[in-house]
Amino acid sequence: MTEESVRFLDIGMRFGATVALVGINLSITEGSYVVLLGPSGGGKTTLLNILGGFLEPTSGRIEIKGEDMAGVPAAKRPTATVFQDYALFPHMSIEGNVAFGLKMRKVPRAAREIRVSKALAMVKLGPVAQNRVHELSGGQRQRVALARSLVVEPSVLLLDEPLGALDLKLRRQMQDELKAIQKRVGTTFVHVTHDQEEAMAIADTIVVMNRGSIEDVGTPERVYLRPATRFTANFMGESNILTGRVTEVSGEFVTVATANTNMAVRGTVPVDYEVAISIRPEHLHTEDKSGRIQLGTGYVTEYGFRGTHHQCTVRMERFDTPLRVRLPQSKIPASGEQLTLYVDPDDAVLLDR
Amino acid sequence: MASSRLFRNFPAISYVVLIYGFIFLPVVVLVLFSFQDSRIPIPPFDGPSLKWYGAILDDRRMMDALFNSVTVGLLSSMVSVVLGFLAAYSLARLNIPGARFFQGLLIAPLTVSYLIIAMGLLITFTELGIPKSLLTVGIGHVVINMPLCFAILYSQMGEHQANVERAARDLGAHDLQVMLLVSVPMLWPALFASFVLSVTFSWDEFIIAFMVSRFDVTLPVEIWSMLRSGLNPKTNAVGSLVFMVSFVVVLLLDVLISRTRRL
Amino acid sequence: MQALTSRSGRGWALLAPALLWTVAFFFMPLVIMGAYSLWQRVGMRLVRTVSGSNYEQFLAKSYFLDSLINSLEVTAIVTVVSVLLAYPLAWILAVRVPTRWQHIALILAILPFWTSYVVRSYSWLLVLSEGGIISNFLLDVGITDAPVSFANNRGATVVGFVHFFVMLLTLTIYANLVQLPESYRKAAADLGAGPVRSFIHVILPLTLPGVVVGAFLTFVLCIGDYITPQILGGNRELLLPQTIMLQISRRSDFPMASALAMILMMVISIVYVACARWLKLDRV
Repeated sequence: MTEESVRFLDIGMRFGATVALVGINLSITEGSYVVLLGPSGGGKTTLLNILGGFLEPTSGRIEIKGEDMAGVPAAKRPTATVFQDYALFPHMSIEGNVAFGLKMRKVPRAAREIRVSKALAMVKLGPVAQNRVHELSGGQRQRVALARSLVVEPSVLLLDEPLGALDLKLRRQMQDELKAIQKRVGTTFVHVTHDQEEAMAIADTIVVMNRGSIEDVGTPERVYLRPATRFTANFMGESNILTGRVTEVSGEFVTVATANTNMAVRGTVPVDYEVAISIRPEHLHTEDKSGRIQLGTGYVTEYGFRGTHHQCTVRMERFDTPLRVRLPQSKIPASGEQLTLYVDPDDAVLLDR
Repeated sequence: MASSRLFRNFPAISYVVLIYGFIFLPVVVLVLFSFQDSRIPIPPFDGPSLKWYGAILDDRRMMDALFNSVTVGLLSSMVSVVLGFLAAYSLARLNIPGARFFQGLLIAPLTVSYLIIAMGLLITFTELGIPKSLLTVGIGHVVINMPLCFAILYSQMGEHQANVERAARDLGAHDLQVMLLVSVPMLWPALFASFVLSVTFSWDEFIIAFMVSRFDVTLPVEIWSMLRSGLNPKTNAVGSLVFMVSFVVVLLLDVLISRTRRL
Repeated sequence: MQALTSRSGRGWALLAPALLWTVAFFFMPLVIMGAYSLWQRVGMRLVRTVSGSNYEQFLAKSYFLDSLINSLEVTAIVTVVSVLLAYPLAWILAVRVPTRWQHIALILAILPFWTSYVVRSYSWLLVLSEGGIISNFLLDVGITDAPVSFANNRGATVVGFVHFFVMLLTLTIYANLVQLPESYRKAAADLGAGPVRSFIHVILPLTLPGVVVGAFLTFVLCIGDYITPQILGGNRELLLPQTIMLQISRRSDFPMASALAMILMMVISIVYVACARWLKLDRV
């Protein structure tokens, strides 16, 4: 039985005439790493601010460990936030920053010192405890912010685009570190980002948000392989979207008539429904195998080498939009090359149009 | 709901009202009694009358002083901006050994009281036999305003500007073209701001103008000599006039600047 | 000519006018003034022999020394009162007033800047003098039964100064407050600090350098000002700038005036060094 850490109940938020959030319902399991993913303006930061107590929602309620948070100010909530710009106090030492929350909680000096040095050791910053904020690198500042928030032992840690200011390499490295620290301390982490690779790398659960509502919730594998909506399919990596109409329903499968072929896809939709099918570029193949369906033939218009694969654009006969295809390293494409493409029906995802 | 918010904000609101009252009180009194009919600008108010404004406009010396102030202000500010710009450009762009030292020298006058600058100039001009005049006043105003222009312009000549200048040079512009076609237009807001600030400071400066002028004086000095006759509605009138004109000019500039910023 | 075409040669040519101006009309006058302060005026003549007699006189005559002490006292009072009045106002403007009103509130707060500097003190005379606004108000209310004067004393000088410096400091402190990222306050609250402790531990220390700069500016402008005490202060006590002006206008004693100006400059330098030290210490 897993315990519930945070629960959003029908949260709505509007700023004047602008609707920022609508009908948000979400449960977060204790000790999980949750990533709120979406484009800017999608409402993810607003939701985080509501959870942290910096904004009052216009409607709905929030519970943390079963307790209603209405009217509880940020200072009194069992949450702590790692801010996007870190908001480290420039007039204090690193140690002073980390000790701040404990001081505010009137933790006695001796206990405070022990907890601060433990927190700094955890983020590997023990040696620079006496330094000033401006003497640290971006990655180090990020760790200080993390230590400062974790040392007060919040039940939920909120991270607002915490890696946004770092360069790519450091970012990937910090991802792993964040994940490791989270596993070690066992605190629930709620992390906001617009970087889907970051989200897949660290999340136990990804919450995809767009235009103020939740599009999809699930494990990274689930959200990537079987996206719930067309938005998710496009936002999480690349997708080819085919549109068509359901012509037949049989058991777990439906047959969809697209522009140039009939496809059997897993799903339950009544006949005559307009639907969309999402196929990942790496799920398009050039050789036939048992169970694969032929999509048709086309020719290569653009291609480029991406290290792990060749990325191609294939112009299909009778298709409105070209398909994006990933060919294996060994198969070097040429411009104008004729290709016949096949797909495994299990890899095609049925979506609302 | 609304009344409880009002209650919570009551201390803040009453504090603001009190301080603004303190700040406005003398200005309001000054303007009000400039419309006084009788000869003493204290209650009871027996106006409104415009006769003191008439008296000011008919006062030949006052109008001369006004003209002198405008002339000294505009000319000294122009010199301040040009010299300040050249020095800032030189120290920010061309490799001068000891640039930090010269920077310190140029802004040194900012850290000294005007009174000391005025005294130094008075003694020097006396010692060298240079007669006191509007020219010496202007020289003094450049001494106090040039460091300000230099500091403002120097702070604006950062890396970004340097890169754009490098790009211009890369595209074939020679130094003078870079300065006139790139640096000056890019710095235009800062140049304008330092010019306006200089004019304001020169316009309002008293002690230097008082000590190093003789027959032709600037407006603050002329007002000062009128002050010696005690409370006088004519002083109210000239003070209100200066106030209203300055305020309108500032408002216009403010509107102008926020307009151009929006474009 | 060869040097002028080089890059640094051109640099010197551009720098020269400003540098020459500053040396000729700022540093040279200071040196000449320094020399004068060591000379004496005997009868109506200037005697150019070096001695410290002007400085000795300054220390010997309470007339001079008192004016310095008066100046220091008045300046200290003005600086402290102005900061204490301005900080809450700047705080309210920066934090409590909606953003779109802040601009207007600031323009209004500095409205009296646009009266002439000389007239500003005079307008306080209208308020404080016998038969003026306050006197009249007290008569009307019945608190006094004869006109009273609040002008021509130290209090009036302080009021005139504070009026000006409250505006100046409000601007300085406001500028400091609005450039603090909002996330500092949010972070402090998030870590459990209430509004008061968030102010004491985070906001105040972060704005203190700005306050010190503003206070130093107040100090320099206040201690060197002649107009305000001359108009509002009456003649019972003199401040240092008034004493200096008297040496010039009444006695034409340039050497003594120079010595007093040098002393004024020394006082400002000492305070400057103290402030700079403090700011540097704070930053490291």
